[in-house]
Amino acid sequence: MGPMKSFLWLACLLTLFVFTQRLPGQNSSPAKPDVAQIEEPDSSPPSKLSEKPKTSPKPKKSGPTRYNFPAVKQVLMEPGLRAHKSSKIPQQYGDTTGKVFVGHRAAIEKYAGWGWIRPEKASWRKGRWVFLEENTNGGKAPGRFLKHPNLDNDYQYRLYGSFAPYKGYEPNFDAWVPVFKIKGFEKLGPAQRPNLHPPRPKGRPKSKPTSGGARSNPFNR
Amino acid sequence: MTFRIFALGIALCFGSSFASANEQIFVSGGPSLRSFERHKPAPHDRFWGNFLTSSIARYKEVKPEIGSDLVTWLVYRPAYITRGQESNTDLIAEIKNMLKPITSNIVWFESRKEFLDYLHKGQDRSKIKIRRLEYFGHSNKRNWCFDYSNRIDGAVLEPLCLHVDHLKSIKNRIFTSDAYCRSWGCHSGEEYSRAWYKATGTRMWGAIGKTDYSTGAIPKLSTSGGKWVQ
Repeated sequence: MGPMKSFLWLACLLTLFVFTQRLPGQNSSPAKPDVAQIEEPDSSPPSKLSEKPKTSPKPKKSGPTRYNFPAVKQVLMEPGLRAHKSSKIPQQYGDTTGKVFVGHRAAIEKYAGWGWIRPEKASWRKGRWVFLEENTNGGKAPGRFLKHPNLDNDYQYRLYGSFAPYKGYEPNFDAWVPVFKIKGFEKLGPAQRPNLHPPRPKGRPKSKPTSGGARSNPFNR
Repeated sequence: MTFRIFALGIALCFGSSFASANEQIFVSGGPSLRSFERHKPAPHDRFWGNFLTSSIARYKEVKPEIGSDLVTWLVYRPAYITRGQESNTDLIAEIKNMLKPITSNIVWFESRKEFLDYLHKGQDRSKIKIRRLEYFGHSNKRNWCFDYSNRIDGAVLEPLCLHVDHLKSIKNRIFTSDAYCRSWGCHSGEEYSRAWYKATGTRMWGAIGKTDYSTGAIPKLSTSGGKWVQ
């Protein structure tokens, strides 16, 4: 029993030694994949629209690395989502020759129209709220490439076409709005909405609007 | 003999004046495009023929009153062509088939100018006046929109609507003294009817509130508290 007892003691000591040697290695080695996972989205090639907000996360000097994850997610997801939506819109579409205008897409609740348009070299003070007149020969609003045409809200485009000699009727506010006949566009990207207001009717309406009348929703049958 | 000829002349004179037919006009505006409307919370014109089926239902209702009058259907054509292109259907042929049992006098128009031209010059208005004019289509309190959400999304182009400001161009001599006018569109009774009377001297029935064409029958008021007014 003597040699057997000493053998068991030796085995116990050996196991204890191996266990104590492996522990620090187990903690440090998986840390590398954690960091790699956090940085992975940033290292992927970004689309053109997500170039602007591209900010590589600065690793904190103190504290565990994994606490960086929510911050990285927050920064990357929002532009990523917008880039995804707009990626379906072609960079260039239709006939892109002739006079150039800059258009700012703006969806306004209960006000029909596409957005503001100004000549390329003018400021937004010259911007006009317009209806887009589309056609089958390439004159298509950029939002038509998306699941919902309002998803390109607050995007800017270089627009090609001309103003129509007639106006359009805005039914919610009884206002006459210029019509732009679009023949092509180039995508510029997201931009801040210019501080402008769409046209209102000249003078006061002749009669008071009734409850649920034309001014609230004139065509909703 | 002289007396007989005289009596025949008198009879012919009175007979022709009593039998002088006037015109009864039904106007069908155009449907919107599905590609423009399908994203909206309350899309319009799921069925392309809303304004046709409702006007035909109305015709059947008033048929006994029409007598020998000429029945005319004014149809805004471009909207039916573009709507048909969306579904690869020839809607113009379908409309002709729908109206075939009713009248052969279908007048296609493409703008406000053509609409007004027909009212004034479509018939010899010194002899054939308008005894009935009923409008089925999109409208609000100040406008009849023949082409709503078809050429442009959610709106109408100026040449394709009849706004209250355009009513001055309608001559009152084109209507009979007992003419019956009615707009079956939404909100017409809130201002349009008054403006129509002021411009033409003929009263028009219009709705206060919205109207519903979706049943395919004669449009009904769909706003609680809504009513028909002149």
